[in-house]
Amino acid sequence: MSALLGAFIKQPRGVKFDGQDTEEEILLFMRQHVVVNLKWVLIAAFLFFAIPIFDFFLAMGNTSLSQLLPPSYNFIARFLLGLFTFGYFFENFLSWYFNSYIVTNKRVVDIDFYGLTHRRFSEAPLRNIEDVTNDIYGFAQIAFHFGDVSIQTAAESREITFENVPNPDRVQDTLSDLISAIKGESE
Amino acid sequence: MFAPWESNFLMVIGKIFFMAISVVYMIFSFIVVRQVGLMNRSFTTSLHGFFTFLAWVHFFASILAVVLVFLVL
Repeated sequence: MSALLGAFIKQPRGVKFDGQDTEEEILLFMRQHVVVNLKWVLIAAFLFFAIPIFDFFLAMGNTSLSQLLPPSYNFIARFLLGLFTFGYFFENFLSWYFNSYIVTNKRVVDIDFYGLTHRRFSEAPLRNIEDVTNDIYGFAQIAFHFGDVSIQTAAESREITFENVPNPDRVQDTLSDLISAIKGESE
Repeated sequence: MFAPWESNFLMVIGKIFFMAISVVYMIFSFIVVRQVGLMNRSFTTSLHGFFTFLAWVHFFASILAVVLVFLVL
């Protein structure tokens, strides 16, 4: 299961990305650390328990939702809230699951999804990488050991950043070794 | 006791409110289905069929919500 839902996976099995060459091998597959999901998980949990909580407070005033609303409205309100809660959970989970960072034996790939309608697919060949930096900053990042890895390329393209990935120092080390090996071969 | 639903005006407002949000939500859930397709093309794991299934179940549930809102309220 960790290969499917983990945030730091070495040589994952059964994972293929758009545009992967036949001889290209995924060495490192990353997502943001699971801790970054805490906010929306708490909101989803609140939505899930919203009606029981609301009923509890109404009961303190000797009333209930079924007394305030006719049965048909009560049923529809509960059904829609259940659907919204699932939709909110599903959408956020998908965003986390599919926002991924991949290191192969040829390149680094950054797949980002912003909201429902925006996908960004960035890549840089390993031979074009000039500099790799890792940043661990903030309380949660120190406590759970995750941070950003910034990859500067020789090309005019923008810097690629792996955000909130676990073990950023190991990612940097792996990338540096790969780049040295590739540049050493070509010299 | 105050029972807001006994007012016809509030009933109409409530009905329009539920109709509007259920239709908007149905559109949202359809976009989620398309988005899951796009995501599954970006990279594939063994869970891609499960996500597609959940997205379609979510979409059909939102259609059911629209039907219920229009029939029941």
